[in-house]
Amino acid sequence: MRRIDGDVLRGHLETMVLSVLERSDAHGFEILRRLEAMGCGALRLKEGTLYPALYRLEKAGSVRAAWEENPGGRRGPRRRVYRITRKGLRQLIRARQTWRQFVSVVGGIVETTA
Amino acid sequence: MKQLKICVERAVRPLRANNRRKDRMREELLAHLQELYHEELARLIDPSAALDQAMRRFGDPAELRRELQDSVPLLERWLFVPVGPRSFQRFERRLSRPGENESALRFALRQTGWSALWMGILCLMFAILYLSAVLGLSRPVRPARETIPVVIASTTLTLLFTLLLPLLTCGMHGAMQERRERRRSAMKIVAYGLLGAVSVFAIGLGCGVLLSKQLQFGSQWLWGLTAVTVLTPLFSAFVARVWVSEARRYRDWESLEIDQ
Repeated sequence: MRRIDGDVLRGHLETMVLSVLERSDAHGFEILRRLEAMGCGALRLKEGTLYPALYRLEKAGSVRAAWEENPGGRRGPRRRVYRITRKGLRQLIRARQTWRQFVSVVGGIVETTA
Repeated sequence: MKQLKICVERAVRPLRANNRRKDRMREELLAHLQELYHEELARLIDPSAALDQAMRRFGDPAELRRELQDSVPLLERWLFVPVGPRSFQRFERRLSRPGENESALRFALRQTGWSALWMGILCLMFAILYLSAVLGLSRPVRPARETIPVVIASTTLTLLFTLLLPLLTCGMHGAMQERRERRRSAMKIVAYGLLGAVSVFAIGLGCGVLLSKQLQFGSQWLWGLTAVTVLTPLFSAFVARVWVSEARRYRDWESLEIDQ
């Protein structure tokens, strides 16, 4: 499968993160692993760029974060666990509607062969 | 793991954001990068190759820095725009931190000297305002006998704290070092605390004597002064403790050489 890289993903990263967090809370590393699994390995993202997206979502009140309390004997720096908020859920619903409309309109144009 | 920290620091240090936010970013990004490294190490076995691969997967720090900067609130970004030319920033940095091999006392005296300069300028401005009020207003102003002791007392107290806090902070740093150093540092902390308490009591008493008419002041004033005297070492120790914890947290990161 051809890989989808950062430039194409950039505009949709926040929605994808919200979509992952809708299932359950997760820290950054886990979010990326889930994105990779859901994208069947086709998503190719510079992993650091996830965090600005998470911070933007946090600033907007769409997610809330807390330092991991019980890292299970894990040593080293702590991780922050992100949870989607009600505002985030509403944002996700709106983003899904926009996405469906986009796919329907743009897909109709792009897939039309001469 | 130093390479991983340098990679994170390249992205975070130049950000225009407060230290608390930067610290949070550092810890979180480092945690991610370390997990990436361990994942790659399990796959590649070779630590050096794992390090390269982890940093490649993490992305370019310069690009990440731009994106992180955009995630900082606009007001905070504006507040942390460096003021003045680089030479001024270096000067400001040198002023607020002890130099290499600089003793605690010398650093504290240096800071007190600068504070005294600023306080002197403020006092001069205050004197000009006071004189212009005395000369320009027809209505009576508060007599100098009441005002000047308060100005002198508050200036002296501010300078006293400017001197005490770096000394206490350095004492606490020492207390966390080797066992041999601990006892001496603990004694220093107690001595500085006592010095602060005695000075506050003396300044308060002097101010009270100057302000009170016929050298009489009530027991209420003395009780208040005693309470402030007791609280002074506790308050100073608390502030110094906060400084120590901040300095310890940032010292490791700030000592990293991030120039590429």
